[in-house]
Order: sequence, then structure tokens, then C-alpha cells
Amino acid sequence: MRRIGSFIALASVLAVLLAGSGCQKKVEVRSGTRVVCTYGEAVSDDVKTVSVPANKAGAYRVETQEVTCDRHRKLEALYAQAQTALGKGDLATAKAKLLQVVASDSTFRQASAQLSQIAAGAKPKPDLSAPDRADTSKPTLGTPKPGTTTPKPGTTTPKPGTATPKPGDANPTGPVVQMLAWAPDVVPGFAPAKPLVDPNSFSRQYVPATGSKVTSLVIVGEQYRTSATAKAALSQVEGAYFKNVSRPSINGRQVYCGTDGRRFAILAFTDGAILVQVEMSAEPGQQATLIDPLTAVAKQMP
Amino acid sequence: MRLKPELLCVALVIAGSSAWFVLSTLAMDEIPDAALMTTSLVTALAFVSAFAGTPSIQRVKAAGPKEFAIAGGAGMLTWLAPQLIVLSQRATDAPSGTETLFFTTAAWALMATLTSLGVREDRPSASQVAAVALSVLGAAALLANWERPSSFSPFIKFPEQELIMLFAGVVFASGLLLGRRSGRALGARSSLWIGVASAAVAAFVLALPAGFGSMQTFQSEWPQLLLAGAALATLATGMSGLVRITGTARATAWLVIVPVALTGLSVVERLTGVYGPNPIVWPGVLGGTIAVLAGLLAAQTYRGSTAPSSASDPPARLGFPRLPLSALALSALATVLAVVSLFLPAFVAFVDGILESGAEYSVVWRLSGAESAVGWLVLCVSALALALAVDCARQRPVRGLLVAAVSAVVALASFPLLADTPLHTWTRWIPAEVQHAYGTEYARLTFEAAPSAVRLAAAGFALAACIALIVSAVLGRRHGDALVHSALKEIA
Repeated sequence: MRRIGSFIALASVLAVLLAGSGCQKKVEVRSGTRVVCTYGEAVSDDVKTVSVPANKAGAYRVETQEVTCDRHRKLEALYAQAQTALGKGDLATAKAKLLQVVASDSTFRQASAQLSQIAAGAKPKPDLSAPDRADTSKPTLGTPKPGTTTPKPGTTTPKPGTATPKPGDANPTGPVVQMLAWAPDVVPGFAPAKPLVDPNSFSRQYVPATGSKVTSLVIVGEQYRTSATAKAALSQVEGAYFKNVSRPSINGRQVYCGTDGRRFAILAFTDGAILVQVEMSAEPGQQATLIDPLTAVAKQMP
Repeated sequence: MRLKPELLCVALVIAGSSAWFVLSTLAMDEIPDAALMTTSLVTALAFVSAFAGTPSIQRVKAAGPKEFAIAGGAGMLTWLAPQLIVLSQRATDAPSGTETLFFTTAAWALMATLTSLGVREDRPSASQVAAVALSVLGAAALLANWERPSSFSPFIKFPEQELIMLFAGVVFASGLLLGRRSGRALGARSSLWIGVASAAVAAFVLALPAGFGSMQTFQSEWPQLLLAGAALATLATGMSGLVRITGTARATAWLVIVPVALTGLSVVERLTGVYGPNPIVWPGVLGGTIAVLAGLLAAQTYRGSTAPSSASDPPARLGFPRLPLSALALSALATVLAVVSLFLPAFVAFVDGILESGAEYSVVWRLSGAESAVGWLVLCVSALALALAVDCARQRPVRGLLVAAVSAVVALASFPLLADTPLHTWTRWIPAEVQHAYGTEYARLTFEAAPSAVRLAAAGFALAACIALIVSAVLGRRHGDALVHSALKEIA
């Protein structure tokens, strides 16, 4: 009985420990609203990290609202007037309006290109995708639209870090745009596919040319929270591709090359908190021959 | 010579329980639970009759109807009720496979050990309880590394179902304890046969109201059902034999090795060249396996102070009391620190995800030692060292002490391998839409270890205690040998 009593006492202590460790835990959750202009500029950002009880944390979130700021709304109006003038053949008015646009934002739509064409004596075609001045359905600063919208085709790429991309967006925005530099558009011997992106990572497949010994190529970039976690992820990669190991230096950076001993080979490295992996496959048993093509691809990178 | 049947029974238990888990998982969605149990038990009865033999009518008659009824009841409690309870709590993937495996194998080992505490003749020692707890922790850590982010989050998503599965483990252990009693009266073979037959009849009766499903299902699934029956027969035969040889607690302790055995299938898969994703985190699995094997070895070799050694091998006694006392002090300190460290942070967790509304969700929190594998690892090893040291300090038998103490040191070696293993990834408070998307492009869950000086100190003291115990055991053995030699000289 004494033994059973001791056990019950021990079990009770452990139960209290377990229950106590999970109760009323404080967590840090990000909360607030980020307002970004359709053209990528941050309009306002009141996102902050708050410490709340865990059972309340599910109610917090970061909303991103997209509006057209006053400056760009005025630029849209000027640009639309310029396009109207171009349509009528009034190059002088169009040039004056476009100069006002470029003075405020040199990357606004096709304003700079159209000005260059006018300066060269050509008559630029009006940009038919320009927003209608009379279109009041678009939200403005006073009437923000909740959620995120995809930038319209033809618009300039929003500045990194000012909008939240949705997974699978055709036009990636945010920090991942900078990471896409690791997936070059030109890789000799391969045809690039469109990159697939999400807020913290991207992957891009490349179709090898006919007759190549490489059967597939994919480049994956992943943003980690710290360089230490990125290095930890790299060590996991090294554990999976532990054969034919080499660590060459490419473009001044030491990279890891290895194969899985079957048909896959990888070249991987970290750049700060970013882990970049270049992976190729070949016919079974031919994986060691992939190291040279991998290093050739890595040389195309920044 | 007694080792061979024991090893055979161990092999049967591991093979039978692993195969039963896999095959019952495959079959449970095809036919009703009671029908599955009926077909499995009828098949199992056929296998038991063919390979283990039929009951001795004379012995059954001599034992009387009461013993017959006890054998039948024990069979139903062991081979029908727990399985039906588990099947009734399972949906296709709820609870997840890792959680179900844990709560129907490793956790049953712990429940059986704890249940055995209430039975005088089967009562395990404190060191055996600690050793089984260590191996169960190892199994949990192993399963938490089957994938990352892991689906292993006990008592978070399906707490009621998992508690009921634990209760099924108590029923299972009660059946085994009852069966051991009837085995003494009827003989092991008769008790097993009557138990399985009773369970088959009861399953048939239970299946009648709901029906047996369509004949078409039986026609398509019969190989699977046949194998499930064979698996149950293997498990029943092995477990009955092992309980008879080693007792309930030590016999059921082998169930902790089932997750290791099933992990071995992944190794076979990799070696045979099946391509595809490899989600298993091998360092963590290795760490969990080390803890499982170390705990199991300690549980099987060290009987502790409640189980006297055999007369043919008299226990050695320690002639160096300072070392056990040092071990006692060190292990007690380690245990206290390990308990304290359960409250201290072990990880920082980061979640970044996107809600269905398109809004971002980002949260950072700390997991305590009680939510980490290493927190419990250090506590289990410290408690094991403490239990061993108490026995040593009381000048109790030290047979098996060396192996148990070495096992505890080996278990501590898994500390670095399990340093980044949380015991749950799901929480009750993060929106489910984010948690469901872990590992996809929609949500990310990462952990960073938050080393605790208290936890490291506890591990260090536990290690020191184990080393003191090892030295005690070695010196005690030499001292015992010297005593034997001097006694022999006197006789000569």
C-alpha cells in the first residue's frame, strides 16, 4: 500500500507538472494592420509584437490592406491624361503630363519609356491598361480594402517588403523577390520554368535540353529565421546527400556538393539566413557525374 | 537453457504486435470492428490450436468451472476488449498513426507496469518502473522524429481518445495478470486456448447486431484478415509464454520496442531503393532508439529489491558503502534539478503562416522542459539512478546493477540527439488552418533549442551518480568474488 501511495503521489506531481507547464502560457504574437499602396510603397504599418495569454493568441493576426495612395492616385490621373493626349496625337500635352509623372516616380508604368520615345521623335502608343480617372471603385486611403490583392499585370514590381504575397502568386512580391536572384533566368542547357514562390521560399524547375544526362534540375531557396537555423537545415541536407562529398569554392563562396548514392546530387550553401539548394537527378548510378553540371549552374548565380 | 524460450517469446511478441498494428490499421476501415475481431480471433484460434496445442481436457475438468471462467474472462480482457476499445477510438487518421502506435504499444507497457504495482507477486521495483518510463520516453521521442513537423502531439488533438486507449492498456494488463493466475491452475497452453476461444465467441456475439459487412469485402480482404489473425495468434502465444516466464511487467515492457521495429521498416525501404521523400529525422530516431533499448535493457536485467535473485546465484553485497551513498546524493540532486528543469524553457517555437483570409499569422513562444524529450529523458535517467542508488545504499542485491547503470549512461548519450525534439507540435490555441498547413508553403513551424543550465546540471549529476554506481558494482563484484574465494579456501 505504501508503494502504491508513493506511486500515486508521484503520478499526481507529474500530472501537476504537465498541466502547469501548459497553462496560461504567454506567447508573443504579431498583430496590426499594414497598409500598402497598389504601387508597392508602404503607406502605414502599425504591426507590433504583443505578449498575450496563449489561449487568446488565435485572435491576433497581421492584416495587409492595399490602397492607392494620394500621390499615386494623382500620378494615375496625370498618366491617364497623358494617354488620352497620346491617343489624340497631342504629343506636347502628353509630354508635359508624363514629365510631371516621372518627376514624382520615374518607374511609374510606361511613363519613362514613352517620354524617351517622344524625345526620339517617335509617337508612342497609348497605354490602354492605364487606370481610368473616373474609376472610383478602387479603394483609396480613406476606404481601405481588406486582405491582399495581386498586382495587376503590367504594373511595376512592388518594392520588396511592402506587400504580402499569397502562395502561388504569379507576380511575387515581398522579400522573396530578392531571393529569386538565386534562380537565374538563364542557365545554359536548361529551359527555366516559372518560379513558384511563397512568403519565405521559392522553387524553380529547369527542363534539361534533349540528350542531356541530367534528367531534372530544380533550385530551391528558403528563408530561415536566423543564419544558425539555415546552417542547421544545411547540415540536414548534408546528412541526406552524404556520398561523393566535396566542398568547392564558387564565386567566392564555399558550397556543399554531395549525392544520395542513387540518382540525386545536390549543391547547397547558405547566404546569411537563406539556404539555397540546387538539385539534379540522373539515371540511377550516374549521380556522381552531376557534380560538374551543378557547379556550372552555381557559377551562374550571384 | 531457460533463455531460449524467453527469446523466442520476445521475438513472437515483437513480430506479432508490430504486424497486428499494421494489419489492423489496414483492415479497420474495410469491415466493422467486431467483425474484424471475430475473424482475427477465429483465425488466431486456429493458429494457436495448430502450433501451441489444444487444452488438456483432464486438467480443465480437474481445475473446475471457476478456473475455466477465469481463463475465459482473462482471454476476453486481453485479446478482445482492449483491441475493440482501441478500434472504436480510431478513425482513418485520427488520432494520427504515430500517436495510435504510441498509445497502443509503448504506453501499454507503462500502463501494464503501473497496473502490476497493485499485484504483489508481479510487483515491479522502483528501478523497473523508472527503466520502463525511460524506454517509453524513448519511444515517444522516436515517434516525434518520424517526420518534421511531426504529427505526434499526444493529448492535444484527441485527448479523450488517447486517454481511452491508455485505459485499454490497463484492461490489457489486467487480462494478462488474470491469465497468469489461470495459467497456474490450468496450464499455460489450456489457459491460452480457452482465453482466445472465449474472446472469439464473445467477438462473434458482439458482431451479430451490427453484422459482418459484405461478402464481397471478405472475398477481397481475406488475405489481410488471415494475416491479422496470424499476427494476433503470434502475439497471444508469445505474450502468454513471456508473462509465464518473466512476469507481466517485464513481458509487457517489450512492447516499447514495436515503434523501433516499425521504424526498421523504413530502413529496409531505403536499403531496397524505394525512391521518394524521406521524412524521418534520423538523428532523433537514433536518439529515441538508444533510450528505448537502454531502458529496456535496464528493465530486463535489473530486478531491483522486490525480486530476490535465484538461490543458485546468490547476490553479491557491496563492501564499499561510500560510493552508493555518493550515488544516492548525486542522483537525488539530479532528480530534483530534473523536476525543476521541466518548468524551464527548452525550446523557442516560431510559427509563420497565412490564414485563409490572406492575413499573416506569426507567433513565438517557449516550450518548457515538460514539452521536450530531453526534459523527461534527464528525469527518467535521474530517477533510474536514484532507484538503483537506493537499492545499493540499503545493501540490497546488486545483481544486474552494472548493466542497469551502464544502460542509464548510454541513455544519457541520446541527450544531444534529442536536444531538438519537442513532444508535441500542435497546440490548442494556434488556428487549426495554420497548423494543418505546417510543412507546406502556407505555414512554417520551427524550433530553436534553449539550453538550460539546470537541465545540463541534472544530466551531469545523473551521469556522475551512474558512474559511482558502475564503480560500486565493479568493486562489489570483486569484493563478492574475494569472499567466495576465501570461503572456498576455508572449505578446502
